Amino acid sequence: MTKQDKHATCPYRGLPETSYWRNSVAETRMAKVQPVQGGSFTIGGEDLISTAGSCFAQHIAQHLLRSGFGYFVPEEPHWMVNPHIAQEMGYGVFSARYANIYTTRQLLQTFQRAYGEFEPKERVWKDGDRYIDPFRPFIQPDGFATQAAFDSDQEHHFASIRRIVEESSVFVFTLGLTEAWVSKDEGIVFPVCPGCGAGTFDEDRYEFKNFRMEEVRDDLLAALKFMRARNPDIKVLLTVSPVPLIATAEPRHVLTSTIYSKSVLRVAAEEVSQALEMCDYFPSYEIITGQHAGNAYYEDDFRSVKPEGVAHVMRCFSENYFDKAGKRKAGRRAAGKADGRVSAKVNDLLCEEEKLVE
Amino acid sequence: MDKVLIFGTSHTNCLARALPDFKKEAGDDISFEVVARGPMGLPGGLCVTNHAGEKIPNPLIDYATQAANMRRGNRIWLISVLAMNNANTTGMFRDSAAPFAVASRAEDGTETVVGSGRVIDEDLIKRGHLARLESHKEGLKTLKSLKPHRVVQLAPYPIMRDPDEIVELLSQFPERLAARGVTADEIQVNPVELRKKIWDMEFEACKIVAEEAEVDFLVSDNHMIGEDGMRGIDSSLDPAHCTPEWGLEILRQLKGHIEQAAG
Repeated sequence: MTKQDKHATCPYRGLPETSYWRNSVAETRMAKVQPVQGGSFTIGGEDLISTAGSCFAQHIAQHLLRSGFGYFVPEEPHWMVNPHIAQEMGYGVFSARYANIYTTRQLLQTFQRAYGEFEPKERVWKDGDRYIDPFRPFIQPDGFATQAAFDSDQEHHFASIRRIVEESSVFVFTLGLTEAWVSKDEGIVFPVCPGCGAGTFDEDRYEFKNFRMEEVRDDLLAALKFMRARNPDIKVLLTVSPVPLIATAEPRHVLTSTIYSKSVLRVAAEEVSQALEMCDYFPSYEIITGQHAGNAYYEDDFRSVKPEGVAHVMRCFSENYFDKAGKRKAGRRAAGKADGRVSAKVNDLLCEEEKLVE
Repeated sequence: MDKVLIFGTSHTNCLARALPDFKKEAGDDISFEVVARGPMGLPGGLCVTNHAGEKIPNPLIDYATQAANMRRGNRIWLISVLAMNNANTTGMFRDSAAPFAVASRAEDGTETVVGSGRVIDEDLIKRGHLARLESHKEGLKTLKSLKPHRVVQLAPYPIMRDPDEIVELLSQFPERLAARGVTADEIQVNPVELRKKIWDMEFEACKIVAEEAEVDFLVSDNHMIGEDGMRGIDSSLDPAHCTPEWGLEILRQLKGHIEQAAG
């Protein structure tokens, strides 16, 4: 038997180049590493794409807008609100003004609240004479001046979320964190710990929770099934944010917590994308954090992602998911803007998580 | 001699049209001139950017000021009729696709909501007005480099009360409405309380801007305003603009202001 024949039955034989580290990572230029294996669906010109998730999802939203495809933003400011002020208020950062949704439990509860299936008692925080939304505490600088405006805005917000659930063709969700603060009595998940920039911390009412993989997975499954029940044709693209934790509440090093958190999110995303046919996992996390990049895609704080990294992710995204024929159609529709469904505005990146360390 | 130079957008027209008659009663010690008027009358606004990237007064105002200054001892008054258009038009008509209400909070915590539809906090709208008027404020400040005796910002003219009259005045322009795909039946005037609320906010923002720019803020005389704060004399050319009769009243008021300020 020759030496070559010893590998004749090896199951790795004949696999594509992307299955081999040397070919597809070690000997490939950083910007050319392309870990996406082709999407199970494509995004066309008539599709409405909505976004939610942590900070990194904002990059996806901006790219969608620039690409000429149908970025779906049903929650827009009223025309009476000055555009400069609307920009400060987070309109267009995501498809609805829910700000960052860091955990899958928060995503699920957001949907449930929008449909009246979960009505927490703690729905507003008073800060002096201002009204703060605990679920998006920084969405309105200084909060709302009146209960009437708070209620009206929430009603509009929920209606927009319902449109996202029911009308989106593609929903892009970026998993961000496993650590969260929850209310002890109702299990409400807050995007930011009460007392960190908004609200007041009370250890009798709030507690720290670090979600386990099963919880993250089950909440995500429940959220996506919730969408599918109301929108059977919807497709979902899951990503994991490559942005490390800014702080951990666990009694351990923030690096250890970051790796735990990202590992859990990555596994949960994998399990959900395997379980639901409607769902793809998109490896933006791998593109930014992989060895090929050698941290070159991070700024000096090893946390903020450089524009080159975002561009790499978005290039892979476009190549694998955008139907080029559809782009032209979408471009025309976006230019017309007649139905008001395709937003022409995306705000500057905002990352509420920064409030933790202020 | 007092030289009064007036400039602004379409709300300057009523002053310009009244000026020929007013000059007879103004006397010889004070002269009024409309330097620029109409939507395109003052391209670039109160100030423009020069080749060095500096904000300088609009050349139209600059040249008019220099010409008025030719004779030693003349006192120059610069009158801005800008920044009042929004006050006279915003929220006048109900947008059935996006109706709105304005919520206010009194010091005792009582909330008031005027209008119906999506509720917007009053302070949010006010902040928007101030943001929009920021460049105007800078323009007013820049005018001071021309060394006028005083700069005066006219307050927004009060708005009309009667919705039927608004619709009637608008119906003068059937072709223009049709060109915009609007039929007379579609026109709904917002409730007077809501329109007044919006005007109040615009007025307040304009006043703040004038104060911060340290220029005079000239409010229409009491006899021109009704008890409800709406336009008190019959002087509407169309739903937003005033007749020369209104312009004449404003010019008289300006003259009085100048005489008083001049001591």
